[in-house]
Amino acid sequence: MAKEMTYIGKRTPGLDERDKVLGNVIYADDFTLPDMLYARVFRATKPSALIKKLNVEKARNLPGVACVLTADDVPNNESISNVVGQTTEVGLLEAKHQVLVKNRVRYYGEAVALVAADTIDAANRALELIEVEYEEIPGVFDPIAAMKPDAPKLHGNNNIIAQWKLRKGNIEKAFAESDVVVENTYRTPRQEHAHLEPESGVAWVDDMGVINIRSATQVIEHYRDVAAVLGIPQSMVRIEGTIMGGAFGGKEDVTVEVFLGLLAWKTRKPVKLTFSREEMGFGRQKRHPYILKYKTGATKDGKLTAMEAEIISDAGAYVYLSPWVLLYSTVHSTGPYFIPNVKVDSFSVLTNNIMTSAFRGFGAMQVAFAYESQMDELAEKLNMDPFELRKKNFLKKGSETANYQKITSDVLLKESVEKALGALGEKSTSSGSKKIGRGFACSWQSYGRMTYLHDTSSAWVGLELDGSAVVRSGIPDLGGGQRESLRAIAAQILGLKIEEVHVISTDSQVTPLAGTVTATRALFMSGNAVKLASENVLNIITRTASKMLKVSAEDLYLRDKLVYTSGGESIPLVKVIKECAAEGSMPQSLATYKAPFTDPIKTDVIKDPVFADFTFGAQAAEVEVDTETGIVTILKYASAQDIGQAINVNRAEGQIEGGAAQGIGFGLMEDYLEEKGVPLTWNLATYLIPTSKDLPDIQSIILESKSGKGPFGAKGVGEPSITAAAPALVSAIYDAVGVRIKHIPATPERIYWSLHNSDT
Amino acid sequence: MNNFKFFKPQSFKELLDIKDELLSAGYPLAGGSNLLVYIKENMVKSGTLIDISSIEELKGINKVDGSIEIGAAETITNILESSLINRELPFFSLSLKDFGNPLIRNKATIGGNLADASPVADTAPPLLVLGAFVSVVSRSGTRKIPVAELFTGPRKNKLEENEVIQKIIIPIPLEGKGAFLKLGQRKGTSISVTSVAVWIESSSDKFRNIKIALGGVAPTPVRALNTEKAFSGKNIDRNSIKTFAETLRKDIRPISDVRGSAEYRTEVSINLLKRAVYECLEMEE
Ligand SMILES: Cc1cc2nc3c(=O)[nH]c(=O)nc-3n(C[C@H](O)[C@H](O)[C@H](O)COP(=O)(O)OP(=O)(O)OC[C@H]3O[C@@H](n4cnc5c(N)ncnc54)[C@H](O)[C@@H]3O)c2cc1C
Repeated sequence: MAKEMTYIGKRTPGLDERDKVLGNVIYADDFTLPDMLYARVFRATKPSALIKKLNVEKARNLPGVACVLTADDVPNNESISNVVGQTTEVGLLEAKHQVLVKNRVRYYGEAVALVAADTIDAANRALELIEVEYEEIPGVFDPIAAMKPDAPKLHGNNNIIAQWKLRKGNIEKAFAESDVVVENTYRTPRQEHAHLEPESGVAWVDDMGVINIRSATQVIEHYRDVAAVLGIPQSMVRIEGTIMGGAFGGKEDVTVEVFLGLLAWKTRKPVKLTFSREEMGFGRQKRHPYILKYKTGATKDGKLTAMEAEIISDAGAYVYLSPWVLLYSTVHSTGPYFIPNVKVDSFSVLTNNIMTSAFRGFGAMQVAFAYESQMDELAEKLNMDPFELRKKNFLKKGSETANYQKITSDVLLKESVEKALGALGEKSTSSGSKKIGRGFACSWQSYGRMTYLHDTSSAWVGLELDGSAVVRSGIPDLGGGQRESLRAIAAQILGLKIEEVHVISTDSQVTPLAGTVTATRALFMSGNAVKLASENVLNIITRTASKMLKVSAEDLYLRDKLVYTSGGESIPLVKVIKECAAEGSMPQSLATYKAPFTDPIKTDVIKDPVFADFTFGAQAAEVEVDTETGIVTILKYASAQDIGQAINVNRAEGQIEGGAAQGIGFGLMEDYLEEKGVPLTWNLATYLIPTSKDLPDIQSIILESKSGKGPFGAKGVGEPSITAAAPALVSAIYDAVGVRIKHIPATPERIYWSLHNSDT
Repeated sequence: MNNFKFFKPQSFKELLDIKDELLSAGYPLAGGSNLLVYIKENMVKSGTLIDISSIEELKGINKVDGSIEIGAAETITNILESSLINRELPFFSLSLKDFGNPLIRNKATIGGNLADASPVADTAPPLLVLGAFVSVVSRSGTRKIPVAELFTGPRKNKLEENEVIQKIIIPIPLEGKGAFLKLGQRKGTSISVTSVAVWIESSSDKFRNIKIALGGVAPTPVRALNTEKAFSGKNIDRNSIKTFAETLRKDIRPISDVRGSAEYRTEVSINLLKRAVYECLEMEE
């Protein structure tokens, strides 16, 4: 490795940034092939119905239409997968999925048929010619109602599809001995990912008979899903990922890939499918809305004694990742606090609402709103400063969580709060009906997948004869610069300039599989894999060079394509590479990084470590609340996160800012509304996300404990940066006007009625 | 889009001829910021789009006989940047500063906003309190319609099938001061939940000739005549302003939708009216 940090912790621009600004990146929808067909999805317009008749003949006969596919045309239309860790009470979960509706529609927007035609206009007209007759059947739209035994069932005979528990100590006794107890019910919204780039891809069958799918996806491993649906070997499907224009978990489940695979397979022609903005609304998953009942106790000197919670998530009509999201919620439900007595019961429930699945924060975010609001309420009751109360209870390195997991890294929560609050500076003053308030919130969020999944990530690094390097890693790039961080790590270790490293990523048949760009694992896992492989290459070089220079290998380092001894002597790297080749020890390495492994979860009571590590942080806000309209203006905002080690400071700040912005949307305005399963806010005119005018100047504060499990001591930042935003805002609103919003988003209307005490 | 024809008339006469021929199947296309959305959402399925963006007779911002005349195809940006309007009637350009966003303001026209006849058209409340007219033209002639009579229902207006709006005529008030407050669910690119325009002519100690209009609280933008009466002739004192503003309940008929409940719209309209009056009178809140 180079002696000093050349790229790690710096602000070096990534090589792709210029191309993004200039519009040179070939995003999924920018790609076309000769003779390409255009596909559209025909979607159900009932939330709960049986299909009595489906007639696609007219659509099939329309000139220009290449094919119309229904469930009957899909080789393996239905699939069942078992979800790990579900046990006794609920029964082993059999998550059922269908590619296209066979008989029963379970949510508004469910895919019924696929069309491919010469032009997008012909495809659209074909959609209009598809005739479907529904028989509506009773649906269930409220998760609490869906838990009742007599509720209409979505699949099988139980709408509860997952249940997790935490059990620690004795809560009854602890509550009885507590000096104060607060009890509240909180609700969180159904958030839409609203990424700029829609789901999109192009598929074709190549001259070897392989189905190639070039798509915007967080998971190139979905080639396996395509193969399973078509009933062909996995080696006959290749997914080549593109740089994404955002995803936030929205491109984690299969989106266009299976549809594209089917259409290309049937037509033997290239096919493009891009979801419309409206389809992004009603055709795909959202963040789970939660109902959270919390009861928290403390002693009069501010020590937490006990916590009891019931957590219910609305899974929508299909299972997707709901059990795992719920597992995250359960483990994170205590907040980053040591609580000796804990009892948590959480449930994920099927309804005829739109399905819900992965979304930045992955279940750790909804509970943060609840546990932090509880801390504020306790502080109020104890007449104690909310920061003082938290300081008395923060987890520390070595503390044990409610799932009996030891914290192995530094916990810089106190420092994070101090920095975030400090960054707000002098408090503004209220005037007239406009009241100023301040609040902050803390959060913890795991990075890396659940350890019982035995996660691994592979990467290949090699040197060319001219000393430049090639990195191959399957990890997709969300647009956050995941690829660029790998480039920086290889350049750092091999003493190269960043432009001398080329990264080939996200191709399931060319790059070593690196796993998904989800779960805040990309840098942690792939960064470590590339670091390992680069170090292996470095060792090959220094071993050979040590023979050439007659010094010990430890004495050597690389810089500017020269191999140096500590004495300052050097030989050109290219000479060493030549020598390596002559010796037959090629300067290349395929390395696999393994995350910490734990045993599978055996019961629904979680009493073993589940995550590799956590990122801790705090966010703080100063708001102005207009008491006559309920409008909130964020005046100042700061987010401080201990990310262990910033690989690139600009990009880390980008994550922290983006997380805050999306978290502010979740806290103040975003909610995908449905009325009895029928979407009401399926476009961006009605589903509101913050604009540049709604967002404050977000101050991003990076703390570097260097104690993480990622490369160079890095922790993850992608998801942790969103988690504390909503409770910080709600706390600031409370400080301003004395009402606590327990049902977010804290819209102007909700705030107005809380202030004016109406029962509407 | 295959069901549409596109036509770009080269002269005002050609525009009037084609409109006369196509009637309601001919859609004047100004900025397209409403029309293209309707096409995309399948609310408008076929017809001829008549591009009016280069017709000189629909352009220009001029002072004519004590009025400001704004060509229907002038964009919101041009109005905001017009030195004539900023000098003679700054209230009107100030009213439009929160219209859509910069991209929309560069495309959206004042004629399109009025012809679209949305209950939340942001040019409407200010034009209502100013007593503005639209001048509409067809092959058979020209007529003036007060903005107060232009709207007949949500997205319905009084234009005949062969008519287009040529210009908007705003009499410049001799005295007084106006205020326009728009409340949305967010700050940028926001559609009004409710909006209130007020013009007060008085400079004495009594309310004289107060005009009030609102958007978003009835099937069309509306004047609040009962409320105007409640203020009229009364002494100006800050405490009674809130009481008079309560009269709004008689003037508005809001509905509940995803943007807000009827009750919320009512309550905040009253508060905004009070604030707008304070602003006109330069009273501290
Ligand atoms: C993102 C976004 C934000 C928006 N924000 C706002 C806002 O803040 N406030 C607001 O009020 N509106 C807003 N709108 C709505 C729209 O921008 C305005 O109504 C705009 O003024 C319409 O003007 P246009 O020139 O684009 O009309 P077009 O879309 O071209 O036309 C609208 C209608 O008027 C007809 N028409 C146009 N010109 C004439 C004419 N001269 N004579 C007769 N008929 C005519 C057309 O045929 C069509 O039926 C927004 C729209 C979008 C998409």
